[in-house]
Order: sequence, then structure tokens, then C-alpha cells
Amino acid sequence: MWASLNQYLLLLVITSPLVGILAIAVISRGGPKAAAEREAVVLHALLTLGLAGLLVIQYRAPAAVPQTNAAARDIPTVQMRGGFRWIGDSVRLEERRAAKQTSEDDRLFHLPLLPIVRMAWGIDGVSLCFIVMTSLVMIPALLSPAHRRGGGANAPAAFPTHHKDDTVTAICLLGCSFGLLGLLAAQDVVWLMACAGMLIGFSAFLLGTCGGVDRREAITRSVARLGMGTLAIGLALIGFVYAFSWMQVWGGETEFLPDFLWQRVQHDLVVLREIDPVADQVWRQTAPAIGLMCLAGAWAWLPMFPLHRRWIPLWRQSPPGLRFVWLCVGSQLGLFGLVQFALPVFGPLEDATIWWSGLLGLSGFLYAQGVMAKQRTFLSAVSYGVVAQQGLCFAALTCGERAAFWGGLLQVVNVGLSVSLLVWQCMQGERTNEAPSWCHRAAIGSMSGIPGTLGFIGQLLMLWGLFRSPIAGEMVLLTVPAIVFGGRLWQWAVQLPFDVELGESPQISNGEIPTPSISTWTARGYAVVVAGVLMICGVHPGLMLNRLRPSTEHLALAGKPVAEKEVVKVAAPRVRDGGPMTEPAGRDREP
Amino acid sequence: MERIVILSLAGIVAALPAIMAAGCAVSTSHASRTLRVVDLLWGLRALLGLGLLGFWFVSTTSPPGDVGVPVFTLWEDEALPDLVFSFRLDRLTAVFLAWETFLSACAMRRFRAGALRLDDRQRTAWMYGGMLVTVVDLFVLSANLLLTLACGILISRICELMCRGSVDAEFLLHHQGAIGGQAAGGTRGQIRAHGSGTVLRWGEAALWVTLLLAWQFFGTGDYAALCDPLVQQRVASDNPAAIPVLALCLVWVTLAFARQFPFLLPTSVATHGEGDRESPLARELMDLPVDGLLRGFLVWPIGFWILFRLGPVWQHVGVARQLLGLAGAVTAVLAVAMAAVGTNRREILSYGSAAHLGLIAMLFSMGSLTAMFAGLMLIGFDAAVRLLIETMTTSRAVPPRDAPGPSSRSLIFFSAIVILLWGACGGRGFLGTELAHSATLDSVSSPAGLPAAIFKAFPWIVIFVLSGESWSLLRCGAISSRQRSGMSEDRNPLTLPASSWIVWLAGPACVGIFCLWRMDLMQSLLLPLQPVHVYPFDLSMFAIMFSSVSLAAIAVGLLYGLNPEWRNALRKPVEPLLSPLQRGAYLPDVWKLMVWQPAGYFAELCRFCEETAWPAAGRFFRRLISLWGESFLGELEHGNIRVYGVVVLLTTALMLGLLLYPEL
Repeated sequence: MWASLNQYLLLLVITSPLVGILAIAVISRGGPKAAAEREAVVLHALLTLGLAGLLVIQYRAPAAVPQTNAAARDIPTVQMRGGFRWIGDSVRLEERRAAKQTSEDDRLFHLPLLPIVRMAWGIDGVSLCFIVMTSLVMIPALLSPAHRRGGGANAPAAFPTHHKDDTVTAICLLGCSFGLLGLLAAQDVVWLMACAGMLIGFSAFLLGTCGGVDRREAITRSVARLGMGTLAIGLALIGFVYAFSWMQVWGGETEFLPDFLWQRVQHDLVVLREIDPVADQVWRQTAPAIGLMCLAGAWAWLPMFPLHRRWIPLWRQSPPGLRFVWLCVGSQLGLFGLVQFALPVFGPLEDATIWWSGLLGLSGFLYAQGVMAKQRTFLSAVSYGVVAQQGLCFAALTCGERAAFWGGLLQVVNVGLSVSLLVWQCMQGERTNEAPSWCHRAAIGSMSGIPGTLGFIGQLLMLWGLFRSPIAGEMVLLTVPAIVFGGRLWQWAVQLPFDVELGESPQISNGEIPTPSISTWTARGYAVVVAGVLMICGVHPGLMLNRLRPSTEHLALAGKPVAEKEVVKVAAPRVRDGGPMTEPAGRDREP
Repeated sequence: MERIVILSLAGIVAALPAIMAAGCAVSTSHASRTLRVVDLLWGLRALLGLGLLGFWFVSTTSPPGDVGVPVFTLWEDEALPDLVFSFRLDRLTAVFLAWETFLSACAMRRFRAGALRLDDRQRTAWMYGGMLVTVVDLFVLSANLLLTLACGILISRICELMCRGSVDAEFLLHHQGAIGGQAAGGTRGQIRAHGSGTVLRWGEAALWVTLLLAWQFFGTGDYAALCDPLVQQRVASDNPAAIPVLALCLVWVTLAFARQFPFLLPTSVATHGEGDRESPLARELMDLPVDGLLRGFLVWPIGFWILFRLGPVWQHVGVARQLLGLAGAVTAVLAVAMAAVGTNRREILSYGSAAHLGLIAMLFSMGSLTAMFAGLMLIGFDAAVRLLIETMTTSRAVPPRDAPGPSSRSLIFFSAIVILLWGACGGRGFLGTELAHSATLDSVSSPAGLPAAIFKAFPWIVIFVLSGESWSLLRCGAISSRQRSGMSEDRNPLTLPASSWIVWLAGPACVGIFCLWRMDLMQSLLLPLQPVHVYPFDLSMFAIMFSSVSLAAIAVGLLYGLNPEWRNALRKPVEPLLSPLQRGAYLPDVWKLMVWQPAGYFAELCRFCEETAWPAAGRFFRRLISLWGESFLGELEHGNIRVYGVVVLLTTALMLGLLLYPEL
């Protein structure tokens, strides 16, 4: 079942939070074991990060070079996969297809009651970047409880702490980490929903236990709606995958892949219309419900104008550790789902759709920038900055241009890492020494697009792609000054706690939790690592782009049918590794 | 061999500041020995820069031609035109590098001996200086728009760092109310100083747009391709508006980086050299001559550099040339007016430099490469000499804050010498032919109609501005030489006694006399310049400019030194001379009307929507829906999770029903 070292690494990365939970449960004996728990948390975070780094090194882009458009459509997105069957039979795909051909009319009688659920996970270029980002961001998130515990006189009275809080908080955060990593690597709808449920459940528990004074509102408006959005996405995906599996092979498989979904929309629907009118009719009746549910779920997960207000309470009222989770990674999951699920399901976008989505994204960007300019606290300004970037990335990802698509993904990672570093630096309360200060400036620079950082490459690719897209060039030209001056606003926002009055403590309001300084080596270490990642990827963007390109080649061309685009040139070699589940279900059909 | 030597020298010149900046970043030593080593390295770099220039122009018998430098590719993909950093080294670059090495060495030397020599921030400021010089070198060496954009952004950010600023001050002051007031307690000067960074953002935005347009129309950002006539012809045939739009963007870049009108602001000009005298922090900024002078004489002139490089793209676009000329004329007039009523030396010099850049823009719009380049050289070397003088006159025994400024007479004397030197060699052949070849400015069509009338007015504007500069120089010298540079507490409006008007009128008189006297020589100078089609008018304007300034400066300087009553009369405060124009009091309002008011209204509108309109709309719709279904939707209004769950389950059941029983 396990075919390579990569799959073992993947398994270790995903399950390492569970190991951390066990370690904390063993260490915690009912008393204040702060040091031991903290060491366990730090060791776990470093373990996860190390494993993720190994995964990056082990990960290889596909070797085959598709020279034609048809070949480009067949680029596999998932390079490393593994897992086991949980429920259902293990009849191979070919056998089931043969059975279908022999007994076409008995289809309804052979419909299994339970779908074939697989605990399958895999990694493509997109999820690899997100997993590394999550591994990095979870370090300060896990350190935050210990950080807060040392608050002394500065600890807010509204959030009483007792000796079990930190243990519970660490376990909940590790549960969130497990949910995040599993969600990012999920290749099965049921597995995806289970991980998302863990993320939301642990978040709701942690928010209700340690959140701000308005945590009830945050749970009601934010977490509950996110849960409903997850449910909608999951059901839509189940319906989509299950319907197609049922229509073709008699068995319900809930496994999915991004290119699997894409193949269904691009090719199978056309073929299905000819060979199986009944199934085509079923799909036509089901498609509106699936599309609406996908759309509703995506709206819940996208902190973008005009429905961004539900995220603000979550960001404001979360305890520091959970804030890292939702502000830096959770806010990006909507775009992750857009790339991995929504775009493949919806298929090629029409020019009018691209225009309206671009208008929505860019207007949301401008709107959030305007609101950001009027904020008076660090966290509020950064929150609206994230909302603005979401709008810009949304416009870039849906504009149907490859450059914008890659730029949008780079910017998503850049926003997550930069915001985590900025929040981490702000939690220090002061510029402790030059090293974090320089890293702090690197994060500001990356958010404001300084050359040599990841943000510059992301902005460059996004703007060029948007400029070439069906979105009106004038709109993009208006956006350029907004981006440039938005960088200025970023600088203002993140320096506000430091520069309002020189030498004065940060301005805290709206129930935000002030936190005292922690030991400098952790602060320095995290800041240096994140700043290094931002700058190395800015100088050598091929590190990310070479891994993103094969996985997103077909999605980047989503603006128009593949045949109308230019010939795709992929220079990276293609190496496929994986076990028996490597080949997606639709791989063996010729277009 | 020549190529290797030239590349090696250029590489060392460009890399040395970066090495020094890195050394200053990691070093914690403030020992005088370390500082001497840094001094030595800056001096060595200046020698290497001059050696590069000399080797290229003197040692080689024939021009080696442009030297290509290896290209650094960021990423390669068909979705992008060229994501590369490419470099180009030609004679123009060599001249600029030599000039920059000399100027930066002088600035660093001045800083070494200046006000912050006992300050711990010296090392940090040296590091910023090294970074800025490195990026300026890369900017000059860039051969494609992407590298130019990257360097432009970095220059802007480093300038902000050098001012220790990232607060968008004007915005805070005008639209952030409480926070502005909060910040004003002691940091108002810092905020005013940081307002200048916003101007550079306009330059960045223009560079972004220029890059996108170049990629869109030309398919590349490479300068060689952009300047290729065949490529331009093809692009013009495909899209006639492409080149004019690109030319306007290039002019926009220059206006923002060179601080031409409408980017001429008191906060963006005076603070470069001086800061706001009202705040303690601004006083510290005034102690940073390196900051002021590097920004004043390195950052501003490079705004014209991109016009040098992309001359064929914009020079035949009449609108762009007229726009540049008009902006330069307005800038020159306004800046010289503000310089004429300045109340301290650094302010006068800063506005005088801005006025001079306006003159350069006017000459550039007329296609006079020689005069323009010589003007840039003049600014740089004038600044360098002034820095050297300040260094020599600064006493190490006196604490920095009590150190006296440089001698006014020495300032005037050396400035006049530099002016004369450059006025004399400005029309030499190598400045005309070789540099024109490098800058690819070969010919300019003469304007017609209204633009021609405007251009005909330029000589009178030049005479007015030059006279104003002469008078400002006098005023600069008249301010007490014992007062510390830039620390004048004289807040009284400047007035003039009747006798000083002689100086002002001496400018046009000198111009006329010089024209009559030198006309024959100018005609003879025109002969070797014919191949580059430089107009006689341009060359004469160039000679007029420098000669008038020099004559006026010399005459006034001598008179000033011999007549102490004038000095006393000039110090005497009487009625304001140019009250409507005094210190550009109207410019912040213009700027606010152009930039901050629209931005502020937009931000306020967004904030209103976010805090008021959206919640009100939500309440309205919930109330509207509640009229439809009071009990059920009332639960929705209160966010009852069970109700949401029921809705989702019903939807799921419906979907599954459709799936399992399509007959439904």
C-alpha cells in the first residue's frame, strides 16, 4: 500500500499532531506543567516542520513534458498518494467497468447503499505549499498559550486562566492542526469533511473556552456558518463524485482529485451525453443543486467582500493561538477550496463570468483597502488587509490567465506567512532586538511588494495576468496605484503599535489580548525562518512555481477551453510515484 | 581585455557599497579604526569609478561599444514576456557611475565627520547609505524595465528607512483625526518628513503601469527592443495609442522621482534637506546631511535616467515632451520663488536644486541632451564640493549640535568654480556625440502651434529662474555663516532692501552680455555637434544658463564680501517680498485636493459602509424577511444553529432524492 518514502512522510506529517496530543496528555498530570507541555509543543511543531521540509525535498514535479494541449489536460495533479479503503468493496475499476458493460440495465439494482470511502490523502503542488505554510504557522500558534500564561499583571482579567487551560488549549490547537493538515491533504470527501469538522469543532471549543468577551457572537456568526459552509461543500462534492461514480461504474466512490473533477466536467460530461442519456439527465437535474451548494459553501469560506464581516468576530475574539490558525491559514482555505474543488467542478469560465468575478474581487480589494485605512488598531488593520488580499487573489485565480493564477497562489502563501510573522512580532510588544526587527521589516516588505520577497513576485504575476485577462485593463491600471499605496497602508498599520508614541506600549482595544514577551530564541527562530522563506522564494520563485505549475496547468487555463489556449510548455521532468491508487479513476480514458 | 577590465571595474564599483552595507549591518564596532576603513573603501570606490571612466574614454583608442552583462533569470515561462534582470554598461553609464562614486564618497565623508559622528546610529545610517548607493548603481545599470522597477521600489523604500519612516503622514494628519493628533505630540515633524515618501509611491505606480504597458504592447521590457525603430513601427501600426501612452507613463515616472510639479511639495522637497524645524525629530533629520544630499542629488536626478534610456520611445511624442517641459517650467518658477524667500541655507539649497531640475526638464523637453546631462553633472558636483567644504569646515573638537556650518564665502566660491568648469566643458564633443549615442537621443522634431509658442517662452523662464538662483545664492551666503547649517531660528519673512535688487537684475544683464560675447564661439562649437542634431538654441541656452549663474555668483560674492552693510541689510527683516508664493504655502492645498481628499473621501465612504450601511441593510432585510415568516425566520435572525441544520438537511434530502429517483 505504501509505495515510497514520500507517502510515509505524508502520513507522519498528517498524524504528527495526534502524536503531540498524546505527548501532552501523558505529560500533563493535572498540575501546572508549563515547561514540559511547552517543550512538547515546540518539539511537535519542529517535528512537523521538519517533516514538511523533507516532504518538499522529496516532492518531485512530473517528468513528462506535455507538448500539446490535449496532453496538458492530462497532467496529473497529485504526485504522491496513499491510503487504505475503509468501507466498501475493493473491486478494481476495470472490473467494475466491465461489469457495467455486461449488465447495463441492472444498474439501479446494484447500487450499493454505502459509498466506498477511502482514507486517502495526497499532495499536489498547491496543497504542498499550504501544508508547509500550516506547519510554519502552527509554531507560534502552539507557543501562544505559554506566551499568554506568563502575562502576570498584563494578562486581561476577562480571560481567566487556570492550570488546565493551557493543556486544553494545546490539545485543541493540535486538533486544529490535525484538521488543517488532513483537510489540505484529503483526497476523499468523507475524509475532507471529517478533518474540516475537527478543525471547526476544536476551534469552537477553544473559542468558547478562552475567547474574548463576545465569543458567543463569534461562534454564532463565524464558526457555525463555517461549519454549514463545510457541510454544503462536502455534500456537493459527495453528490458530484458519487453521481459520476454511480453513473459509470455502479459503485459510489467518494474519492476525488482536482483533475478528476476537471476531467468529469471537461470530458466525461460530453461523452456521457452521447452514450448514456439517462445518466446525463440525472446529472442535469442534479447539477443546479450541486452548483448552488458549492457556491454557498465557498462563500462561507471566503473572507471576501461583501460577506467578510462574519470573519471579523472570529479574528478579534479568538485567543492568540487560534487567531494564528484562522487569520493566517483558515482565511486562505476558501481560496484553496476554490482552486481544488470549485474551479474543477464549475469547469471553464465564460468571459462574462470572469469579468464579474474580477469586478467582485477587485472592488472587494479596493473596498477593504479603504476600510483598512480607517482602522485604528493593529489587528483590525491587518484583518482588513487580509480581506483585501483575498479579493485580489480571488480576481487573479478566476481570471483564466496562468500568470495570474500562479501569482494568486504565491500571494496566498505570502499573506499567510507574512501575517503570521507580523502578528507574532506584535505579540512581542516591542522590538526586542535587531534580528526580529529585520524579519519584521521583511514581512512588511513582502506584504507591500518589495523586490526580493515573495510578495513582489506574487504581485507581478497577478497584475500581469489580470492585465491580460478579459477583465478590463483600465480596471487593473486603477488597481495598480491601489496596490502600491496599499503597501503604504500596510506599513502604517503594522507599525502603528510601535510608532504611535515612541516607547509606549501597543494600543490594544476591542477585546484584543495583549501578551507579554516570550523567550527570544523562539521569537528569533520563527521570525528568521519565515523571513528566510519569504526572501528565498522571492529571489528564486522557481522553488514554488516549478511545483505549482504541473499541478495547476489545467486549472490555470480555466478561463477558456484548453484547445483555445496556446500550447503549454512544461519544462520540469515528470516522475510519478505512488501505489495502486496513483492513477485517478478517469485517467485511462482518452479524450 | 578591455571588456574584462571594464566589467571588473563596474562590478567592483557596484558591489562594494553592498559589501560595506552588509559589513555595517553585521558589525557592532564603532571604533575609529573601523570607521577609517570604511572611509578608505568609499574613497577607493570613487577612484575605481573615475578609473572606469578614464579607462573607457582615455585609454581606449576606439570605443569598445556597449558591454553586455550576464542576465539573471528569475523564472522562465511562456506566460511571461521576460522575468529577467538584465544589465547594460555603456559610456553614459560609466559617466554616471563615476559621478555617483565621487558624490557618494563625498557624502559619506561628510557624514563621517558630521553631526552624527558620535552617535550610535551612524553605523545604521552608513548601512542605509551603502544600500541606497548599491540600488542606484543597479538602477543605472539596468537594461530592462523589470530591473528598473525593482530598483525604483527599493530606492523609495530605502529613502523611507533613512528617514526612519513608514507613516503616511499627510493621510494621518488630514483624515485620521485622533491618531494624527496622538502622533502629533512630538512626532509631527517626523510625519511631515514621511509625507515625501508618498510622492515616491506615485513613481512606483507609474513604473508598474509602464512595465505592464511595455509587456502588453512590445512583449518585452528590454530597453534595446523598446528603442528599436522597427519594433516601434510594428507596435505603432498595431496600436497607434501604444507609444504615446507609454511615453506619458515615462514622463509620469520622471515627474514623481524628480519631484517636478505637481509632485513639488514643501514636505517632499524641503524635508529632504532639512525637515520640519518645529519638531525635535526633524532637528535630528537636519543632522543627516547624507540623507538629504543623497536623496537630493542621487534620487532626484535618476528620475531623468529612464528618459535617457528610453529616449526613442518618448521623444517623438509631442504631448509627452510638452508635458515634461511645462511641468519643468512650473517647477522651476515655483521652486526658485520658494528658494528666494527661504530662511535658512539648507532650505534655499534644496529649493534651488529643485528649480535646477525644472530647468533640466525644460531642456530635456527641447531635446538638448548635452545641456541636460551637463546640468545633472553640475548638480552632483556642486553638491559634492559643498559636502567637501562642509567636511573641511566641521571641527572635530566641537560637539555635533554646536558645530558651525560651512563658510558662506567658500560655498559661493567653490560653487562658482564648479559652475564655470562645467559651463566650459559642457559642450565638448564626448558629451555631445558619445553620450548622445548611448542615450539614443538623436533627433527631435520641432514643435508647432501652441506648443511652439510655449517653447518660445522657455528662454525667458530660464533667465528668470537663473536670476532667481543667483539671488538665492546671495541670500544663502548672507545668512550668517556662523549659524549652523540648517538650524536657523530665523522665522521672520525675508525681505529685500532696494540695493539687493541690483543682484536680481544682474542676471538678465549677464545673460545678454554673455550671449553677445560668446556667440561666435558657440557657432564654432556647433560644427562637431552636427551629427547629433543638437539645436543651436539648445546649446546657447545651456551656455546662457551656466554663464549667467556663474557671473552673477562671482559678482555678488565679491560684492558681498566687500560690503558688510549689504550683509546687514540682507539680514534685516522687513515686509514680505513674495507673500503669495512664500514657501509654497498653497502647494499642500493643491496636493491635498489632488490626492488626500479623494482618497480620504473614498476611505470614509468605505468605513461608513462597513460600520453603518452594511449592518443597517442586514437589519432591514432581516426585518423584511421576518414579515414573511415571523417565527421561523425569527430564529434565523438570532442565529439558531438548529434551524440552519434543518435547512441543510432538507436540502440534502432533496438532492439525494433527485439523485436516487430522477423521475421526481
